[in-house]
Amino acid sequence: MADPAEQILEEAARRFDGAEVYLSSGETRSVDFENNRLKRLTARQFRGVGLRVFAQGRIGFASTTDLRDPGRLVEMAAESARFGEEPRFDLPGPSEQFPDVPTEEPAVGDVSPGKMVEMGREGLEMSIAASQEYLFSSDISTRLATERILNSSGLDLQYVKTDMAATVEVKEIGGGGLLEVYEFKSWGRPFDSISDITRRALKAMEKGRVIAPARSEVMPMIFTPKAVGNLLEPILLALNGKHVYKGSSVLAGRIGERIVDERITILDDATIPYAPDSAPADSEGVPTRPLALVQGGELKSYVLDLQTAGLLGLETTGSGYRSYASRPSPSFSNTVLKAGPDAYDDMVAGLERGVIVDQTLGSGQSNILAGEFSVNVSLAFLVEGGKIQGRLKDCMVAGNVYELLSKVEGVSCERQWLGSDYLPAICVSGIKLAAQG
Amino acid sequence: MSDRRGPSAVAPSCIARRSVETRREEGTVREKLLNICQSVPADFVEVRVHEGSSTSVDYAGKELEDIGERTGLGGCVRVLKDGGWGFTTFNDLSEMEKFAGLALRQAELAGGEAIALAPVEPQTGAYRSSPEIDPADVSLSDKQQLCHSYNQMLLADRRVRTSVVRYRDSVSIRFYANSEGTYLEQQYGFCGLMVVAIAVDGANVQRAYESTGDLRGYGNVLGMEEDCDRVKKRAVDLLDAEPIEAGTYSVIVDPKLCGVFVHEAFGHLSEADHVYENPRLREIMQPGRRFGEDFLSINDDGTLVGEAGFVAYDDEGVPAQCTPLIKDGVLVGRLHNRETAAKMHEEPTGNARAISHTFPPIVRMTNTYLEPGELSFEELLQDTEDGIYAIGMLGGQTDMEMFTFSAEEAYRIRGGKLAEKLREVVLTGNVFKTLADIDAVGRDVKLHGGLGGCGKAGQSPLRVGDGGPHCRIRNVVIGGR
Repeated sequence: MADPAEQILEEAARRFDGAEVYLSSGETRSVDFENNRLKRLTARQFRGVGLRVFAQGRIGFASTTDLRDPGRLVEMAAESARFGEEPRFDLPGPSEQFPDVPTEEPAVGDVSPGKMVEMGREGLEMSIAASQEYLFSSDISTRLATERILNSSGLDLQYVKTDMAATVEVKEIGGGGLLEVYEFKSWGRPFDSISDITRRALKAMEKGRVIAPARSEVMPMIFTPKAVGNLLEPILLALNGKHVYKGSSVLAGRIGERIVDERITILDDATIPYAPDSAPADSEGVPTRPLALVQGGELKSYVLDLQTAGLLGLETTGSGYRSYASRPSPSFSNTVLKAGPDAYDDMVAGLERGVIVDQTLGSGQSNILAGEFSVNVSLAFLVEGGKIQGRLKDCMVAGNVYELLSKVEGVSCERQWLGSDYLPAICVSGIKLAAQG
Repeated sequence: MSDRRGPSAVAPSCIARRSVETRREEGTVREKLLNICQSVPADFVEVRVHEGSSTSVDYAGKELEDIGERTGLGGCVRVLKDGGWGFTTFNDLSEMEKFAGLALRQAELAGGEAIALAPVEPQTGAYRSSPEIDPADVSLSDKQQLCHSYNQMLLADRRVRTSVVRYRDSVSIRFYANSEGTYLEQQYGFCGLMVVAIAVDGANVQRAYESTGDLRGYGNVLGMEEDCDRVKKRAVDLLDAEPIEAGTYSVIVDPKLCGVFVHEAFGHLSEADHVYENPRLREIMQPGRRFGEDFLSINDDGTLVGEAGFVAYDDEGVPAQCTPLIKDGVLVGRLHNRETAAKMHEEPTGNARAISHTFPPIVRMTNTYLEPGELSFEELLQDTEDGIYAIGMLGGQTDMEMFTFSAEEAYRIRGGKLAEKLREVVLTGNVFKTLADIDAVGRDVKLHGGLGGCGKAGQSPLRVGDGGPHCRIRNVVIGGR
């Protein structure tokens, strides 16, 4: 059978003024431990294709996982183009500028399900050794995917992404209610143990067994790397070029302005070797490069794809991401927050009375467009005299991230990869803790 | 962790207009799937094939950002052997035998202590939803025109900076066969629409939305002019609302928010997969345990035709049913798949659901609601000296102990009357305690589906319905300022 991607492009290019095919295919393997037992082994094979066309001055799009009839995909794209937006860009041709980003480590494919089972068992044994009452769950997986972008301007880019990922979740139901800690990691190269994230989860479980009394008060709070996302999420949303163009971003028209404390620098970087969201190009075929979004507290750039950049009269930042089933849209690759000067342990030791926020519940459900967050702190610790006193329960933490990140007390020198985010801990002052009563 | 998504989520994936072609192949599909189930030497084998298509129309501001159709086709095989599950998924159906063999090898590797499945009579059946107006009979041009007119209404107010109008319809054809001889063909058609208005005043950005969506067909999305007006006004009014002061309040929730509350505060806890391998939780979740006052009754009902959570059979081939979860304040039931039912020596309830062929079925809700009480909304309000009236939902989440849910709009209640408008109202509570804090229940039950859906174990969004009447909850912590 002829290569389906080329076949679709050929047919579409003959019929329309321009065409782009995005083909994503690959396989994943995963091993699931649930509640202290090995539950399931899974193998997935996937293949999907998206077709974007320019027809009579309009953009059309369609996608399918059913490659029995490529002609139907072309028909659907044609129908879509009858109504579509006017394109404000040209499809990029072949480029000399693709950065040399390693994204493929064939050894990921050599990690056998048996080996993954072994890793999970090791984690399970650690958990049982810590407490028979703990319920341990873990999902360990590998993924090999081939991404291919072809267009009628002559671009034909293909690269392989490998990834290995693991999650660990430990929980206990006891007198103090439910205590649940999760940790995860993901990387483009294989790892041979989950003991690091298991150990971290077990350590937090140990600390969480003591409950500290909570009362409503305003205090400094340290957000661990796992919780820093709560502070970043509204800012990332406002940096999205789409919200900027629509006027719904509070950062629209503010390039060059100081928006947060000077210790905050946020980068979007798809060129880090083997990082989860690294790639030589975005999914429109535009070369990637490290992009400073916020530098020293100052707003530097939004993230843009070709169409949004065209509408704003700007250049794309190479941030047009998508799955095969969606049109490209401005998005982030690896989000990197610059490390600070402070040792994490010193930050904790320096808290006279404050809170460490580690896990939250309900993020993204408040008015994040305006920079608001409001979450239940599902795992948080009260600190007095620099020492952890115990876990705070049934409390909410809320605030405006632009205000809070202007009151930064410290940024840790240690950073942690969490999925595609590379983050330090941040201490901010003057946040309201709301407790029952 | 499980959550209920509001406006940010996407519509159910998958789904089909190619039913004509598939129908013709019907005989062969049946034989092929049943043959594969018989050919794999295991304790239990099931094969699912999902075919589908969906149509989208997405306006964002003045731009028509997405319009058109997507199609999908895929299958999966699940094998149970000696206490281990193997699961494989694929898009290329010609390789089904290969993936059945792989699923068996996976199951052998996973093997451990025995797993039993609760017995179910082999089923043979077909279901096809028949909406009054089938979205397939409406042209793409008409769908676009409808969305355009709603979008124009939203943008007519100059204080509305931008808008979203999102239309989705989808058809999902699901073929199911297992080694016990069950063979099912089901077709579901979903149709829904969401409108969002975003009002901006300097750094003050406020958003309001309305969403509709279930299996009733294209009629769902017609005549939403009043919704557009309401959304527009609400977004603009929120610009002048004050953030709520953090604290503990008595809260009257409207039917939509009551639905999210029931879903998060109790629904997920009643999913037996959270309980069956957790000895402590089994002790807490003993049938007969009191969770609330006598007027508190909660059901999950998959048989409500047309509602967003309707299923004829679940994705293990078990017929849907109505399952009382709490009756007169007391725990009486829970939601099962065949494995959890066997382990807990209870009956399967038809709640094993998968969002697509790429996932195994897990225990999920269908349509979950609080039964009506006797009070009118006015009576509830008059009886509340000081509190909050919280309306509409942005979303909710639970970790099986704590839960949060957020209101779209809220008012202070003073002396039994609605007072000033408030914003940033995110509520939290404890699943084991909060149901007991419901101290008054209204009589006006409504169920809501909408775009979006429920997420659990990476499977999101699943179409579900939830609802209830107006009701009042005491001691709710709100994390305002």
